[in-house]
Amino acid sequence: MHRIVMRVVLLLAFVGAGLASAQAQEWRLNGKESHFYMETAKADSIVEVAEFSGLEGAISKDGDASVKIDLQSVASGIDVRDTRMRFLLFETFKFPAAEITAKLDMAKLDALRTATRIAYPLKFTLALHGISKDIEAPVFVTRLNDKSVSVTPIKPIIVTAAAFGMTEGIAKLSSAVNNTPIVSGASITFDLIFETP
Amino acid sequence: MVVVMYRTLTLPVVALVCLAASLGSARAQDWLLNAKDSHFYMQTEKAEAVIEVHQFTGLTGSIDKDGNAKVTIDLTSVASGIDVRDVRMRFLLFETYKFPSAEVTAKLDMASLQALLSNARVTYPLKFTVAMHGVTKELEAQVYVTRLSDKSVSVSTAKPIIITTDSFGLTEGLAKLSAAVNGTPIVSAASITFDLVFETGDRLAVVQAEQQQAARQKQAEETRPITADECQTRFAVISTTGAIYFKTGSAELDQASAPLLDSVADIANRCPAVKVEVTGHTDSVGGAHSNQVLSEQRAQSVVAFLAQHGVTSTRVTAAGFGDTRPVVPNNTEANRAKNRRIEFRVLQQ
Repeated sequence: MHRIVMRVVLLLAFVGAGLASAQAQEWRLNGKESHFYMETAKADSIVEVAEFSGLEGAISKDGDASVKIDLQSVASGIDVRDTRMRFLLFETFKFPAAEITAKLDMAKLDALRTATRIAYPLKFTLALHGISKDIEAPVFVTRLNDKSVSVTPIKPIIVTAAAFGMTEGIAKLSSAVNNTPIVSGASITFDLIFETP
Repeated sequence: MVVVMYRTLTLPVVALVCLAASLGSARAQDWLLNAKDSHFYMQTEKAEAVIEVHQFTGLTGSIDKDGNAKVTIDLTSVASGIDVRDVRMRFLLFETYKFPSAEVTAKLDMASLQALLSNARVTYPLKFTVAMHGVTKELEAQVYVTRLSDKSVSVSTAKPIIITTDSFGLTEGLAKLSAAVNGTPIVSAASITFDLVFETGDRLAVVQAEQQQAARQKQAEETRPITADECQTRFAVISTTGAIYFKTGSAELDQASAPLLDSVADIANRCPAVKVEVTGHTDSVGGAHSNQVLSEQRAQSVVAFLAQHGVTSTRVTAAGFGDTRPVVPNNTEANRAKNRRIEFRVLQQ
């Protein structure tokens, strides 16, 4: 019993140390454990969810966060559909990646020392297809353990094609599938895992 | 220093021991859904350009000792931010007057959730049953189960769950919804994302108190007086439900009409100052005179039903228009069915 308590104490000392220095630590995105989904709808009846597996990111000591989404990694499960999205919609030959940047308020995230999860009003900039826009979305930040947190939107984030100059791309995509109408917007959900050494 | 260190560590140790105890016996505990901290969203698309996210706030649920989980979603709580849109979803899509809620049930493998003793989060392949609109379906989805504290867990979708209208007999409702917005096409599938928080231990009493308060709020919301405009919005939508039935060629109300007519009476009773007009309409089959008489008699039958349910007949006028005001050409059976209808309207004072 005593030994178990000792171990718990040691473990806790670790957690305490890790979190106490959260402000002074760098975090790296674990691309393997993270998920980033884009949901689209077409033909008045089909809703599709595509995943982007090419994710890289980091959060600096000062709360400068950036996540790069490799648009060529789009995976809907159908090769020709992915190819069309790359070439016709995202034009990855010109704009290979989307980038999210944010300045996090590390003081607010301090609440994670006692709470496992907090709701955080995330303001971020999305650079996509040569256009940058400021977006606001509440996210949950969850402490998974003393070295890893998850960031996930509370509600799907809606992005319109018009906001990022992609209306023409949608039209090309539509004509590639016999003019099947495609909803000119998408919703984004993600679960990004950041880890610190 | 050592003393201070010891003291600061004592509390977390106590917390950890508690957590271990409660998770260790997770199999032997009941959990209740905390609706205040939970989120349940339905995303829909219309007009090839508009994506909308609606929230359902009326959530109740529990997980028992053996892992039997049940969540009830009050479909009348759908909140898109626009009243008329909510009213349309309730009456035309979900038909809440007949099917007021959706129910999700699942049998959880409590043994595999024991991993939460050492991990804050586990990915769980959830198999669940959805009962909605009188149809029951088995679905499967990956969810995250996250230990938020020793008395609270969250269950959230790892990826949006796609649900098609045809799998729940909602295709016809969607067509009515589309017709209500000038035929704007609506994608016949929706995606669901949620984050449900379940709590146990001494949080149970808190959650129960919140549930009771939510029930009182719902009761207050459902009985609050509504304005003449709100009344008219509801009547206009209800007029397109096609859920008032008569025997062929007769003015005798079919029993199946009761759920919708109960809603009409309820709405009329909540705006007691307005005068209500009930009009009957037929298709073009049969003679003009007999259609005229039939439409008047049918409107009268509805007025009689409302009178029996507290809507005094001095507030209600009835009229029949026979086949003179079709909403669509009488060229198919489906169209003729749309033309055979009862309409409700608030009369301007």
